[in-house]
Amino acid sequence: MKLINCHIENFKRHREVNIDFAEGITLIGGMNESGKSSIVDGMHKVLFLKYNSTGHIVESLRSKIYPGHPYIKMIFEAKGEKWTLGKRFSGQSGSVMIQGSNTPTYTGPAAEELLAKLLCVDEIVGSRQASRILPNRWAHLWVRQGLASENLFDRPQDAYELKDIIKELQKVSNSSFQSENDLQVKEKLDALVSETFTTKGTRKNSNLWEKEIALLKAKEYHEQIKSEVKGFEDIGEELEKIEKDLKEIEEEKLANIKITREKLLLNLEKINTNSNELKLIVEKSKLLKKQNLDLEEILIKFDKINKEIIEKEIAHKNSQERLVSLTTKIMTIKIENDTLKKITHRETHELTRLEEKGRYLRDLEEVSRTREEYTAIKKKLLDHKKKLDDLEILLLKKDKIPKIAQNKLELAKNYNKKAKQIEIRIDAMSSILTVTKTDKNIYINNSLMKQGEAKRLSSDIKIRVGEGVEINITPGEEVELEKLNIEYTDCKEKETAILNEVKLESIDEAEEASKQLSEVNQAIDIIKSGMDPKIETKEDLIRSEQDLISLKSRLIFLEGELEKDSTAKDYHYEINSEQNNQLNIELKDCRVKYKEASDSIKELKSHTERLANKSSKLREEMHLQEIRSKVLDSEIKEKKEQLTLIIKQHGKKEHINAIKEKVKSKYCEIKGKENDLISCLKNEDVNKTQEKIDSLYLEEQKLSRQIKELIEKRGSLSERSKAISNKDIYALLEEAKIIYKKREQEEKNQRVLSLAHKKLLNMMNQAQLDFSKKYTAPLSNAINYYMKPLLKEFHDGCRLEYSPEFGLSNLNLYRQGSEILFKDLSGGTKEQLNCAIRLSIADVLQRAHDGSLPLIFDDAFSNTDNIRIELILSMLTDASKRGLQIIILSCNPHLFNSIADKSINLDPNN
Amino acid sequence: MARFLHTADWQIGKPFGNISDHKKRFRLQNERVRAISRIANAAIDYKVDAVLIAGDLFDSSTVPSEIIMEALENIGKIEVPVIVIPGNHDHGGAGGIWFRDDFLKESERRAPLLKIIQDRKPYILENATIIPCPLQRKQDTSDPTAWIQSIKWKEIPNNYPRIVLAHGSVIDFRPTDYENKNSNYNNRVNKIDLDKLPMSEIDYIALGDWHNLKEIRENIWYSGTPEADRFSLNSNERRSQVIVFEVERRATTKTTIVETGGIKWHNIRFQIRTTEDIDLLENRLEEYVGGKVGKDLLRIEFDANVSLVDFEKLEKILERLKTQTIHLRIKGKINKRPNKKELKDLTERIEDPLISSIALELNKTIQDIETIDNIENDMEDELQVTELALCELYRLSAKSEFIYK
Repeated sequence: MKLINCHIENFKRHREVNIDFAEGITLIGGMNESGKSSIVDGMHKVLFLKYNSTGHIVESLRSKIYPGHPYIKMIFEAKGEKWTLGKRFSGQSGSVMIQGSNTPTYTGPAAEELLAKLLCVDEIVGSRQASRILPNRWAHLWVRQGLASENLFDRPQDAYELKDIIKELQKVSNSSFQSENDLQVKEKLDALVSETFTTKGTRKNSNLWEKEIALLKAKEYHEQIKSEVKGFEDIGEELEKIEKDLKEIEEEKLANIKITREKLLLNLEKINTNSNELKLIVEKSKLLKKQNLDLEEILIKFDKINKEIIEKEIAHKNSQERLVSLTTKIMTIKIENDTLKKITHRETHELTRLEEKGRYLRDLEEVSRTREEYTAIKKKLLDHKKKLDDLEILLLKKDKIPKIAQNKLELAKNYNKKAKQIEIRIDAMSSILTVTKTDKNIYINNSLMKQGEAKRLSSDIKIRVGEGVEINITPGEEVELEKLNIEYTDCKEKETAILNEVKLESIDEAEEASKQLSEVNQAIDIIKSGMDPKIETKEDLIRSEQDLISLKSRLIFLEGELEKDSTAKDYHYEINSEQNNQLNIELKDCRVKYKEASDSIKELKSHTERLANKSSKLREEMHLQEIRSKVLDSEIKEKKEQLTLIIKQHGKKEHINAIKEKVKSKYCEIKGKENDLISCLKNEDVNKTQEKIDSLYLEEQKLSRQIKELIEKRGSLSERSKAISNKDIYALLEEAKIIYKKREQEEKNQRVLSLAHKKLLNMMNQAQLDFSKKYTAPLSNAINYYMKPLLKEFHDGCRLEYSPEFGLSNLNLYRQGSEILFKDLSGGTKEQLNCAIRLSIADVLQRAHDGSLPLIFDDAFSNTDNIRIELILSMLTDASKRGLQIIILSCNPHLFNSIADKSINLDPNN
Repeated sequence: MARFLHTADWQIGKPFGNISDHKKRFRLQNERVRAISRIANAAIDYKVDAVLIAGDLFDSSTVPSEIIMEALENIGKIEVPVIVIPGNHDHGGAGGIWFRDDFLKESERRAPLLKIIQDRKPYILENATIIPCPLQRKQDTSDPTAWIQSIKWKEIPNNYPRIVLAHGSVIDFRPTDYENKNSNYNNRVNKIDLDKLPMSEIDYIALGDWHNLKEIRENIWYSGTPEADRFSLNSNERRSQVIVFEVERRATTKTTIVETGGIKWHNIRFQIRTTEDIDLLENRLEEYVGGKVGKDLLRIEFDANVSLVDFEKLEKILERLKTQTIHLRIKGKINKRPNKKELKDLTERIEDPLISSIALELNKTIQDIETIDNIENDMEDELQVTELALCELYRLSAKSEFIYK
């Protein structure tokens, strides 16, 4: 296919551009932004983009400056005809037309179909697939702007016409490496393998998977049945064990219990019998013991009574003796008593006499006393009266004295003092005017002054000398003086006022008065203190006088009485002081004697009393003794009777003793038996035996419970066993096993089959790979051929791999023994390599395209240095010679001028 | 002169689970019950005094009621006493079949002459004494005949023969039953020590457990099964008979073998290398099975390397055989591999380079492996996969003219 002409209108920058292409190398130069790449874009779009595409891909083609839709026309040669292709991109309303030299015009979809055929592509893509597919169209032939360093083979496989390349390569090699059939088989294998496997293993729901699952299920089922069988067998075992246990319990344990129990019961009986016997014996022995005791008691009684009798007899004898003595004593006492009586009588008489004397003396005394009293009181009364008179005088005196309250006096004193002070000050302040000499009359304040007289100036002073001289002296500090004067006057007035209240004229007077007053008060107090407080008033006085009178009368009375007294004649006492003393002495003496006598009488009396007591006591005792004697008597009688009774009842002492001996021996005998039995029973503890019996019973219960449980268990196990056996579990087991084996085999078979498929597939892929390797050789050879100037060593070169999955890949450069990945090459080398690749591919493909293909290099060598440029130039020239059409776009067109068959310069102003 | 029928290992109720077809399975199970009738006939024909069953009358304690009923019905037809001891399948312990309600009820009703001996005590008949050695528990590890040594022989009538009835394996004779992977057989240790038995007091030992006929020593026999229940290892084995023996005290026993089998179990080995071999096989099969339908079980152990087309043929034959027999067990290996022509077809296909190259490679691998002497397991697997790959390749790349499924 060859490009002839391209005409672009309203496309991006271009209002209108028309390019005629050379058959060989066409060079399109232009400054930056002159629209070079737009031309390429336009060519690409017209060839590969659907006419009625919409969206951004079409919008972006519109010229922003020029109105109208983009319109591109392309004239080219293909399949032996010359074609004109025109497309208007206006979105849905876009249009296309194609016409060949021998073909009628086609428009619309038909045109696109035809175009696709001519270009050997599947279809012309629309806007939907544009972004994905469009960039890949002819990417292996055209190096677009900016993609000069890109690795073509990094793109996905369908990015370029790999199949065509391979097809062509096959043609070159004259042999195919895979046939249709091969591919079909491979496809089948692919399907089979992917049906069965995923990347991670078996695919779900595939045959193999199903068989695996079936196997698993069969295995599980088998295991399950196995365990059920085991369970069943276990139940069987358990049942056996239960039977065994039941048997054991029944035959052994229960039997044992029975035997043991019987033994124990026997034992118990024996014990009981022994116990009973023991009881009887104990009773009997008790009885004997009692008997023994009784007899002993009797004996003791016997002895006791005897003893008592003897005692009592002795006592009786004593008693009698005592009686005798007592009687004697009483007699003695009586005599004594009589004596005492006489003495007492005598003394009493004396006493009476003394008493009378005493009485008389006392009366005498009283009279004397009363007399004294009367005299004293009288005197006192007189004294008192006198004192009262003195008091009255003093009181009168007191009244005369002016009284001034103490506080007021003080106040007045203060005023006085103050006035005095002021006066001093005034005097201090005032001046003294002294008339020392004068020949005239000097009047100070209208008062005449004498020679040598002085006057104090405390206020204004008017001095008149004679008749014609008047001097006014105002003392300094007049005001002050004035004030002081006022004050002084004031104080003085106050003082005077106070004093005047009590009619005093001066302080001294006041003080004098006060002093006098106090003196008087003192005197009054003295008098008062000496007075009888009781008699303060006149009434009291009168009363006291009355008392005195009554006292007198009493005295008279007493004296009268005394005279009447008969005793007086015995004594003849006079009432006077001397005899008073004697009187006292006498009285004392009398008293003493009286006391003595009365004491003596008392003593006698008490003596008498004692004797009386004693006597009565003795009498009592005598009485008692008599009774006692009588009692003893009767007691003795009684005892004697008792004794007789006992002898009657039980016989003589010897007899009783004999019986007692017999009883004792019998008792010993029985006691012996008793002890035997006790020791016999000691070993047998009834309680323990009973306990044992009880526990046996419990055990029996337990065992029968156990039996019950076991039977129940047996019942339920039997049920289970039956249930399982109804399922015929052994049959199921066998079946399960067989199925399991079968599934195993099936799974194995399937697996082997799948593995076989997998193996085949792998081998297929590998074979494909191996084969294809052969066929990439021409391509890499071609690349190497183009790159030769760059490759120094013989073995240097590029290698290209082919795999069915990735297509052509791993384009690497081997240089001087080392492998360099494409991406690690320098920018320039990449460009060169890319160029070589395009050329090589185009070489291979051109056969199918009438021996020519248009290659476009849009700014594809910007990294290439000046030296390498030469290489590029030679490559391109070579390629052109071989029939490839080359179109170079560059902003440095001068580099390529040398090889260009045609140079076009794009004017940016276009 | 007492005459008895000695049989054992009826294993009524054996499930034959490996037969997937239920109807066919039923046939096998049923045949065993029918065999009882044949035994009954034999008992009548030979006028025996009693039938002695040396254990394993039933296959397990879970045999379905119907089968028990039918078996008892048939046992009822035997008009003489039928004396049975429990074996290991139908052991005597609690939970075993002998205590099942249905068995107890039905046996009373249908087979009143059936006597199950559970105790280790001499059982005195009219004209003989049976020394039973029942297996009383599921796990009885002791020698079931050990108790015989404690028998007070003086208390047993000395003018009548003494017959031991026991079940178990004999110490010096350890069977290696190739198909005995039944769990009931595992860990069985009730071995009978014949040397310990006072043979002077015993006239015949009727054994059970070993499923084919075997005379262990003089007067000591395994009767084997009355109806075969597995394939024989070799053609000398007899699995479908009973023993009728005449016995006297202290005299030689006379034994007669009576066939009672119904269904045939054939076991053959066959090698196939060529198509002719396949034809030979067909002939052989005709011999064994012939035109019978549902009367045979067949086990074929193959050593076959067949071409793909032959494989097809063989498959067809075996398919037919399967339908014809009650059960067809295929053992061994049938290796299919493309024959020379088939292989050439693949490897020389220049128009399909991938296929041919792969075929070549596969073939080479196969040949390489086969030259190794001792092929290990993983190599075996590899061989298998490779072979199959080759076959699959053939199949997938078959051209339309040759329709190979």
